[in-house]
Amino acid sequence: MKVDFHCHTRSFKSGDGEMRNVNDELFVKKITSADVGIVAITNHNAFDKVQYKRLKQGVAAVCDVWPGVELDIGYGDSKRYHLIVICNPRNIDLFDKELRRITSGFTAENFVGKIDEVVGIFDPLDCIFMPHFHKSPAIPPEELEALDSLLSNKNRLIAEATNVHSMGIFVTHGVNCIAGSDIKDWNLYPNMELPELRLEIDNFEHLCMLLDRDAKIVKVLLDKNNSSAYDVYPAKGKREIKETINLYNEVNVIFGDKGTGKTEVIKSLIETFNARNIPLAKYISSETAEALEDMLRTDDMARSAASLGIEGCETEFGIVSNYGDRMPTPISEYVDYRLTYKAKASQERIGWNQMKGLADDEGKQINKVEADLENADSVNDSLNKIKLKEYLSQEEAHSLNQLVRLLSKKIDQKYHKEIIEYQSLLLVNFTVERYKYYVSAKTGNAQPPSSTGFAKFALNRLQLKSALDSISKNLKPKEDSNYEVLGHTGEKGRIDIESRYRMLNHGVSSYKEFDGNITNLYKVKDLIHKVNRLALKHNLDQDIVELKTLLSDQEIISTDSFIGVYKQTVDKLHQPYDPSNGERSIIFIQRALNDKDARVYLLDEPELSMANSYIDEIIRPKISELGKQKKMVVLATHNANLAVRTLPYSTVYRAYGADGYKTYYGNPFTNKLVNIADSHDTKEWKEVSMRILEGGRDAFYDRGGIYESGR
Amino acid sequence: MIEEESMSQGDDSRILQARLFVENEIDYLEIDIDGKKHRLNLNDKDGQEQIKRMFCDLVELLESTALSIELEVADDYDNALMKEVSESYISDLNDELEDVRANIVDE
Repeated sequence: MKVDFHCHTRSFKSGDGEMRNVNDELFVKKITSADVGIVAITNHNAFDKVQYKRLKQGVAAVCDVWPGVELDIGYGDSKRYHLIVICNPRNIDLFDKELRRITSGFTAENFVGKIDEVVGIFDPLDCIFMPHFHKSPAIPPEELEALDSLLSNKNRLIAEATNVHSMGIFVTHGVNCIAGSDIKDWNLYPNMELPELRLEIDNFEHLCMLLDRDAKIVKVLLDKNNSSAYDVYPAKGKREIKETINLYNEVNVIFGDKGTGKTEVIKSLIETFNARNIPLAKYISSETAEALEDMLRTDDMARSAASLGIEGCETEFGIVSNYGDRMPTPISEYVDYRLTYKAKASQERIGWNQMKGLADDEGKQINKVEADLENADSVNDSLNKIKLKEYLSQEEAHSLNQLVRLLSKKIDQKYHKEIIEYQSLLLVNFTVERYKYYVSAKTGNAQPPSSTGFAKFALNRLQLKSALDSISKNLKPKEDSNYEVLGHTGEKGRIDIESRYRMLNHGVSSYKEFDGNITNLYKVKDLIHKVNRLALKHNLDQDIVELKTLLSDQEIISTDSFIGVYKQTVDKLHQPYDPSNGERSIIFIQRALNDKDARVYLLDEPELSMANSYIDEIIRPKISELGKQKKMVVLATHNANLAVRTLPYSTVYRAYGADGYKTYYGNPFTNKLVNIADSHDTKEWKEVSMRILEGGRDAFYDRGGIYESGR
Repeated sequence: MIEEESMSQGDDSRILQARLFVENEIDYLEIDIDGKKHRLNLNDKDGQEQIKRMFCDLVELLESTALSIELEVADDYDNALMKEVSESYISDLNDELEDVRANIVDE
């Protein structure tokens, strides 16, 4: 929930400017559109109770409004800093009364309070104190210490940073900190990114309890989100070492020293969710090379002629594989017949020796008409997919349908006629042969040859040549690629995966493109071309036998076998490009985090190979966004920006010491981590995170200066 | 007189010459396909390989034009049986050349 704990609604000081004045209508409009859940009205040295009540009522449906003030506090020799005081709304009347009293005799312009007096008055009214921190006019360290010492509850002191970025840095390093809009022109509201409370609070008391790290209220607020217990196995291969942890449909973090089993915890969760068929997105930093390798596997690429828009030529390969010459009739049969032929009047009358069979095309014509019939059906099917009335008049659509139906009908009729004719031909030829056989047997004459065998021989060879022509034509070099976005890297831009289909091509194809032996495929292809050249030649025998043997050995039954498949990564110009480790990490973390179908995101050390700025500006907001969408994110990390600034709902801390491994569980809201095996063994979340993630307090303060100076 | 060269029979058809003769007491039927002479031994019981060679040349030529074969018998040839055999063979072969050409044209 977004909050604005530093908001001006009226111009009280000369420096405020008129644009700080907001009317009720604009306030409601701006607060509603900015989706702010809590606003504290903190004008300079004054509080307008009437306006406060009106504004509070105006936004009651979407936002709670708390009373407050931004006071000038003096110190040293006429120096000043600003202190925001936000009061429990229940005490608004007292707050209003005390503020009027303390500022009595002053104008907002010239009021300067003393810190001990201010704290003395407002501390008992249940207030939160927010001095400007590294923000002009800022509280100096000694005054901060003084303020801290004066407060009855030190948890009510929150530093106010310049903006959310600075706030994030201070929070990361253990400072209770927040930022507010400090709005100067309501037309521009919100003029900055507003901070968000990780836990949805209902009222001022909730916030105070959170500040007090009240375990009970933290649990109540955390449990507004669903959570479940999961068994995890931090020791590789040792199922007997098991821990049970509660994970929220929010951000959950695992941290600990190297070698304490964080990755194994993530991996065991992957197994668990996979077993439950829960859609998950995963990122294991140490396995991005393997992940890319997996994506470049070609198992999902079908070696199919269709992928190159060519014919599979299954029938043609069948013709080649089963080919055998039809042998000519020996001339001796003609001689034998003439030698044994005894002319008899009855035989001459019947003319049996003149009887010939009819020319047999071996069903070719039927096949042709059958193919036309299939094509007509296909045209019909395609036509049915088109909404004709969107393009044609009713009459035109009707005529077209009628014509297509007529075509199908006529082809069908011809098909049946061809079948009848061909069957008749077979019957005639059979009858002629049987008749000759019986006459021959009866007369003792040799049977007259039915043909020289040329037609059968020639048609058989021509069919072989036609098949080889078709195969050769479809084996011509051709390639086609599909591109799928792999991800985006900073400098190189978009990286794609190219899935390439390529017909076997001498000097171009690579062995990687084929499962089998590419040498044999080249041999088959060469032999196909050779046999094609020899198809009508006499010296065909040896090569066709070799080709048939190879086709059989290599189990080649279509052009599919000659299609090479390959995947590679390419840049935006589709030139081959191998992403570096860092680019690969960026790509895969993006892919995981952008997986909209996943319900669970399991991320192991996403910070490896990535710049801290990339993690903080791109990765962290994305993880927080997933948490807000109530997706479960489990993150093993050493990175403070991720582990702290995402404010995880649960934290698993894996520790290793003299007495072995320990697993602690907790969250940053209670600032406590409890040993799962021993509830008396507790650690401070903040201390552990600072030690593990940043290398201790000193390191924090050094880095704090570096971060800030960069802004 | 025996014509050894094939003759043209219009643009789409050619006539090839076949010659029946005897040499060293062997009867031969020799078919001339574009100067390539295929000599078939009529006394051979097998001879299919030689016929295959001839068929191959015929198919190749048939792809580009219709063909028919004309039988010429040598003047001094007097074997009536082999004359009958050759006439019958060439007649059958011409029928088949016609069928195959029709098939090629259809394709």
